Amino acid sequence: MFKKTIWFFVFWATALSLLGCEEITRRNELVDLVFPGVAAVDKTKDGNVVLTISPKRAESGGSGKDSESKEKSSEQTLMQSTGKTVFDASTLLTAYSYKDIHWGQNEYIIIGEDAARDDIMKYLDFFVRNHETRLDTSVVIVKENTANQLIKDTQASSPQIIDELANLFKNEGELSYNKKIELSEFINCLNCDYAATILPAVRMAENKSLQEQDSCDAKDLLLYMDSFAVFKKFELIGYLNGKDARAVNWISDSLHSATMLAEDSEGNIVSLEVTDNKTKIKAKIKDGVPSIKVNIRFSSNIAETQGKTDVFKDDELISLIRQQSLQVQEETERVVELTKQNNVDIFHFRDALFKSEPVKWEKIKDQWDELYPNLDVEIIVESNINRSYLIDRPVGASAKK
Amino acid sequence: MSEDLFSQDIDLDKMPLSSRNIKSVLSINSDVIFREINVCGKKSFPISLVYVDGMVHSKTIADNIIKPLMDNDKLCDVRSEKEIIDRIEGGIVYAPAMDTRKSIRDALFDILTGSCALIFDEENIAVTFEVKGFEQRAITEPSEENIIKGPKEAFVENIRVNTAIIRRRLKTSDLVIEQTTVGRRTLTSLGIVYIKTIANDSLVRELKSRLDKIDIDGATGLSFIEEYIIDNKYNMFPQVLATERPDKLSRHLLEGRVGLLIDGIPVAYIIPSVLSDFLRASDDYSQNFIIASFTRILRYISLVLALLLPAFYVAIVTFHQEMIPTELALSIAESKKGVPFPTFAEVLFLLASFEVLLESGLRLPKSIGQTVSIVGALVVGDAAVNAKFISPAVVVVIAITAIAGFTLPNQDLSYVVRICRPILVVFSSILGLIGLTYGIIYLLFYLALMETYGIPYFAPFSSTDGKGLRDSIIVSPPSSVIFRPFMLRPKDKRRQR
Repeated sequence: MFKKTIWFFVFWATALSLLGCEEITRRNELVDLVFPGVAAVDKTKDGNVVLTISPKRAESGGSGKDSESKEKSSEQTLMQSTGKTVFDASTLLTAYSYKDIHWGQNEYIIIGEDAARDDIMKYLDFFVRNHETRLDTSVVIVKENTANQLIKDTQASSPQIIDELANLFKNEGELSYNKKIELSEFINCLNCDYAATILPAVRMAENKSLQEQDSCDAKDLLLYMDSFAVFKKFELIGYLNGKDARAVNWISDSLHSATMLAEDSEGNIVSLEVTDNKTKIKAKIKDGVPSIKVNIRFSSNIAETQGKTDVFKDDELISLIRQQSLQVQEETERVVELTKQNNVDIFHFRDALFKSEPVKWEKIKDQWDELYPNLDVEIIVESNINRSYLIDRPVGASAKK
Repeated sequence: MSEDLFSQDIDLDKMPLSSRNIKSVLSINSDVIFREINVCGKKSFPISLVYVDGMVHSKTIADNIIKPLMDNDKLCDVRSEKEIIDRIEGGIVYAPAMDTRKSIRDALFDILTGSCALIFDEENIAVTFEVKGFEQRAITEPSEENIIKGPKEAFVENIRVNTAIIRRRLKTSDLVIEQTTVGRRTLTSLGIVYIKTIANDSLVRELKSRLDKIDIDGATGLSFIEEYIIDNKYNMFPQVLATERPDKLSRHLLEGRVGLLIDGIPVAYIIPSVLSDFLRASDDYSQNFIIASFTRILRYISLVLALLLPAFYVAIVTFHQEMIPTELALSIAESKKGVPFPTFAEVLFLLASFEVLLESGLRLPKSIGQTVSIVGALVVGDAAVNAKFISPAVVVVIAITAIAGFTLPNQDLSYVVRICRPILVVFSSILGLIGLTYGIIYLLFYLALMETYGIPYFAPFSSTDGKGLRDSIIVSPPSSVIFRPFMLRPKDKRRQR
């Protein structure tokens, strides 16, 4: 009992004495940390790395003096440093940062086009190794610009760049021209032979219409996220834009929604909205020759009709279904052809072959680079139009009669 | 009966039973009444009547004992005290319970527990009649274990009333209420209650043997008895369930447990009790099982919150900031600006303040208690936040912790949680989540080692066969509870045929 009591007191004396030792316990208060929010990585002409972070600011609430002062205090300037490596640059940031940079709160890593064309892993390795970084951090490529420039140009805007990116990803389902790709997913895709994958790309464009309206000289920039950056063995080789980007989502079963235009029998435009879709990839290897069958099934709704034709008549519906299927067929076939031309298996057909025919795959896997450009990819599109909307006949359809 | 009754100086065993000797023991007491009665009005056979004023029903003594002795003609022809005793035993006196005592010790015990005694000096015999009639509290609603639907009666201080309440609920001849006494001076009556065809014999035997070992002069509080009947007195976790609800005790008796009633204390012990029993509320059995399951799950979650939330907050705010969503982290950081103390100090300070507030509210009259709560929680809390002593986020965390703690149906468990909470905060403030994990593992290890009457404290969760889980976290519909809890090893395993 006496021994136990002694141990008890020794334990608590040690524990309580450690409470004050921040050096030993490595305890850090939240107020002493900077949350990067967005980290921008660029390559300079002389091969150095420029790291820019746009610390996340707290949203000020309330009204009156208090909130004004809060807003003022929470405003933070960009932090930038140049080093030989990303880690080097990040340590240089601490030279003038009055708080510790906590990479755990970094939500986006944006990479400038030059750095992406060089070797993207050179710029991501630090984030993968850093114990604080969340592996679900999103990676984004800045199209035709530097990441540093993107952050600088959007610094003064409201919402902040981090919120803008979040909104763009949140709304991507409407068009399905991009998709969020996490750091872990990206490095896993690159961590194999014949590595090829994609990343969402963001571009800046001036909002000309607004400028004309307000006759304002100030630059009003808009961020567009309507393309995928295509990587082959760690290097950016090009972009898939608009519908080509959407086709990637069709094949990889990542499409949330899409809009398509078709014509009724009188030539009026009918807008279709994809509501439900599923893509299945079947792979087989016969006599050492791999082939892929992509089965895309989707349903859509009639979102708008510009004519007065009753599009829910059977023959009209069949025509619309045929048109939408054809569009998807063309979109996807075109993109598959593009990837074949560039020999980049961004759809990971090799994984499908491995999963369905693991033994046969072993025999041909070393020739994948030669096999892919001639891969037999059959795309089958089946579609339907659901009649869930309340208005089935256009307004004025009966008046015409 | 207790070995040393009243005085250590007098050797009662050597004293013959006589009115003189009883007087010598009790005459100093102003509430002990001695009266001489002449049988049939004749002075030839004076007998002494002794009782304690206030503990007996005076009218019953006058009408049923004194009057028949003095007025009944059948006693006029008696020629000896023995004859009187025989006729009393034959029913000349109207008393439902009567004993003939030959030792002064037994006679004194009866007198002091609410009987009146007729002492026959020649025969050295005392005839005692149970005429208890002291004032007692009426059966009221439970003060701690209130339920919305269900019976509203609670135990009272009088053990006899309590046994009657249980008998009224369990009208089976198998219900056994054995009585024993503890406390050399208090002579506290204990009632061991069980259903003989259900409760395991070894469990009853074990409880009795533990009670037999009690040798104290007075059992005035619950802890005096509790310490002797639990397995480990150095363990702060509750090992026996105390309830003030007869329906709860009855339900546990039907499961195969044993109840212990203590005279003078309006609470019954349920033996054995395991951790899950402390999270079962009476409400669980008076509501639809889906609703009851929901509230019980909520209670388990609340237990985890009440125990771990402050420690978890300290760990993630000071060590694992990447776990907090950015917006929330910024919001916490904003609220912490200007507060000079580290987060763990804030949490410990606020936990201590909360304990002080609870304790002060408990000791004060209800009306002032509320004022203290309002002043403490609102005024002082708000002022402390405004003065940047503490951050609002910590106030929110401690408030959630406190509210979660209030959902625990058992106060004994609540006390343990309140003690463990700051200990875990210290663990997590040294090593973050790793420290907290160490703390939790130690706690689980400690609990897993615990046993109460041979049953693991974690039962039924500790069993690998999954038996008995039916009414643990999720309340089963009554029709599906076919068997009694296996962990209690009841004689009659089936509850429903």
